[in-house]
Amino acid sequence: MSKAGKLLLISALFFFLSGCMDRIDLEDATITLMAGVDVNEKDELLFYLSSPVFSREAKKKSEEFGVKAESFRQARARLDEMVTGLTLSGKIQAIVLGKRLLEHPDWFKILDVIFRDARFTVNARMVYFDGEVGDLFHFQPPDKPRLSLHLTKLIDTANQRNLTVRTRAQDFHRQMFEKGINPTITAVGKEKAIKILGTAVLSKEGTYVELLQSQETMLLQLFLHGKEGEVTFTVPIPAPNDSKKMIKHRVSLIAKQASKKVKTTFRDGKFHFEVKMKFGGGISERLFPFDMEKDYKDMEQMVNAELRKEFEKLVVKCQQNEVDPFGFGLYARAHAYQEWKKVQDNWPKAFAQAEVKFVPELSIKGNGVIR
Amino acid sequence: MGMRGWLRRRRASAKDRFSHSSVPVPAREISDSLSDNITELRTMFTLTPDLVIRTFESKFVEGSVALVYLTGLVDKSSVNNNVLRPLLSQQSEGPASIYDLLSVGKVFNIYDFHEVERQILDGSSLLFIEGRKEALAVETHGWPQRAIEDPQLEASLKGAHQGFVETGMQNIALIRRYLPNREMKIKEYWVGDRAPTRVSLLFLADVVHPEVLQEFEDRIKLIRIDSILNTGELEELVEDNPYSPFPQFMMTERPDSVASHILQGKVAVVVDRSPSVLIGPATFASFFQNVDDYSTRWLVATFIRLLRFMAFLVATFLPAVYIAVISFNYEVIPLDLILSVGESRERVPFPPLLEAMIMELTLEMLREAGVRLPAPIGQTVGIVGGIVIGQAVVQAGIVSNIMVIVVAFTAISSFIIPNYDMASAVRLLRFLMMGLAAMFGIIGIVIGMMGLIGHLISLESLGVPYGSPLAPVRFSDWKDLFLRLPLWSMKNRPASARVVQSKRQGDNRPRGDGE
Repeated sequence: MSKAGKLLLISALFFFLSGCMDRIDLEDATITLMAGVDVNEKDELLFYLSSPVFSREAKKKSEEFGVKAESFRQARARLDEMVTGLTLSGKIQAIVLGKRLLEHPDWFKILDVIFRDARFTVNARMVYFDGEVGDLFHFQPPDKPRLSLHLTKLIDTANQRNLTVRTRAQDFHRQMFEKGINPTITAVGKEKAIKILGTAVLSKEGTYVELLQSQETMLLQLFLHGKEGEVTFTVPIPAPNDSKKMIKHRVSLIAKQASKKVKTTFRDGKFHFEVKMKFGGGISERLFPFDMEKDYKDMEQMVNAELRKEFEKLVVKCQQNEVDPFGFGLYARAHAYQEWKKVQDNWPKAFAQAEVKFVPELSIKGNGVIR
Repeated sequence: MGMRGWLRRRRASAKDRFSHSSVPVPAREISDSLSDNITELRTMFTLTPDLVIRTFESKFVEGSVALVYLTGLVDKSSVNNNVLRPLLSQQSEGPASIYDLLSVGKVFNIYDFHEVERQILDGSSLLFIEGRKEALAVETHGWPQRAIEDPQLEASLKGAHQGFVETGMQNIALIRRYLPNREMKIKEYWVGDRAPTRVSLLFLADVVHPEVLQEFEDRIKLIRIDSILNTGELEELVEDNPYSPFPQFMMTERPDSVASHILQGKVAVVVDRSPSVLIGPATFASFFQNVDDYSTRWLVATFIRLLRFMAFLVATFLPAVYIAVISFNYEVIPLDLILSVGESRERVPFPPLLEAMIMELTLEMLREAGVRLPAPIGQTVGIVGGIVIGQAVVQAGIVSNIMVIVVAFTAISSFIIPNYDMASAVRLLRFLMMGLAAMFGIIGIVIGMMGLIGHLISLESLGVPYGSPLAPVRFSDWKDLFLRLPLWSMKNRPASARVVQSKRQGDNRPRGDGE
């Protein structure tokens, strides 16, 4: 065949190609930015969706719907009957899980589609909502942008200050299947405004166990990720008559660098973890007079003692609730495999028995720009 | 079967057809009778009012003399002062040969009417003398021509401000000014049967690869055509792959750029009557180089080089990426952008491909309109286009404002590419990519990109790989590819041109005072 003939044939074949079937123009799509799952009183699954509305004629900038369904895919079909365009799941920013849902063990199977369908995003932030998800989705404060954007930004910025964790769906998947750690997700509540509550720690079955406040989250984050984002502690310094004064003896430190070392041993039938954490810190706030030039060692000691107290309090709290958000199980597996093997299927119980020692080593690197 | 071989066969067969049909003209010799010769001339040049035949008697020669020329093509003062005046002069200073009387540099004998015809049409003055079987051709060219001006298409900030004109001889002179070297040789050919054009190949004989030169010569020799009016026509007849959108020869109107390429071991072709010069072999990368690169500081030049390659990618792929991302792969758009894109797309009644086509075609129309119009009206086109496209179209909801930004960005990017032909190729490829993106999304763009790269790699210019020095990889040439390293680091001529003698300079690295 001649060259021109071949060219003609190829272009003709191209002409008859159908193209991709899943083509949807942006404006015809309903881009889900937030998805929610909850159960009602009758233990029926409820699915929610929030997506932006682009039309200039619409008064509201986003639409929210909730449907009863048995799975995400079924919910999608029901939602498509209601929303303007076709629902797309590639841009979900947050997956909100209701309080009542997290009381049911094994709810995690619902999320199967997120990991199985490649077009589903695994970058969505996992959120625990302290209340009914429907309330959150129909909440429209006039001074805030679209709810989904607002929530996303709230989580991201709070995470920057280490007030909460930011767990992507993929991270959550790992935390669920990793035997040596308990999943932690962002906890959100709603009063007059939407508010970050801290970090929700879940059991290995996925049920809600406990809430870590912001200071506790900061310690957890410091342990898990070192210095990432901004880590600030406000530490009480013991002083006479402290409780009576309005202005208490407090010092705030901003962590500059942090490195940890975990020593793992198995003695006397239980695991021992010794966490050595080196900090470099700068003082960002001090509400009492102190001669830093002379006595900075004393200050380091005082802060160390306080940090240690707080960390050990946090560990005890977790041990009482039989959860291990720190992932000490990973260290146990790495350093004491034989013993780990015996308890691996029930690690949180074993962790409750373990002994954790925390040795902070603070060195104060700066005192701020005034004395 | 290579495209080249196929072409050559096509060209060979065209040549056969041509020579069979044309009737061979017997070369008539000049007779010794002046009146016979004049009759012959009159029959040759019928309906030629601008032919001047002046017969006169001169005491320096026995018998009468006829001066013949075409009136517009000769320099009148030269004819009057240097040919006619000495011959008609009454002063006698003893017998002298007619050669000694003509105060013109180039005088030569011709013997047949074939040559007579060509010399007259070329602007020479011919002297026929009674009793001689020859004619004297006196070079008195002087046709209307333009002064040397700044190059239009390739303006330069720091380089020379002389551009080529329409006289081949002048253009050669301009090049020779840069290369006063006896190794710069010129080979001349006449192309075109009806209106022959002088085509001159310029090269450095001790640098250029003989095979490259031979190939170029062969291709020019094979051309059988009425006439070549322009360098572009010649280019199309000698290029390797006629179906490629990419220019396979460099065309320039700057003598300094030609000199630089000749020094790199390439061959330049000066076509008489055309103000642009063809340079071959060309490589893809050479279309992104510019003479100004070598007169600015190398860091600055490197930055601009990188800018150009980026502009190439943007101009080729940006509208396609817009289409792909809007209709298939919206996941890659950042969240805040997706909302603003969605809001501006919402009012647009057309699918993304159509929207992009409308805008890109409008842009091309505006550009083309601006090129052909004189400068004052061109400005009006710019204003009308700017307002209509920039604002009204968006306000009317025909296209989204993101699309306007995309179009403006691609337009600016395509103007950054220094070579006009390459920029035009990019403009064309853009539409292909847009079609692919509309069909297959980002996968389509990737397919298009792979096809493009494959095509660039397989392309050749005079048998030299077009993708060089990228493919085949020639690392020594990378000093002058994406980066423009200091001039003293480029000790050798680029290997891509396949030179025979590669050394270009010694160790010129400045060492300052200390060493």
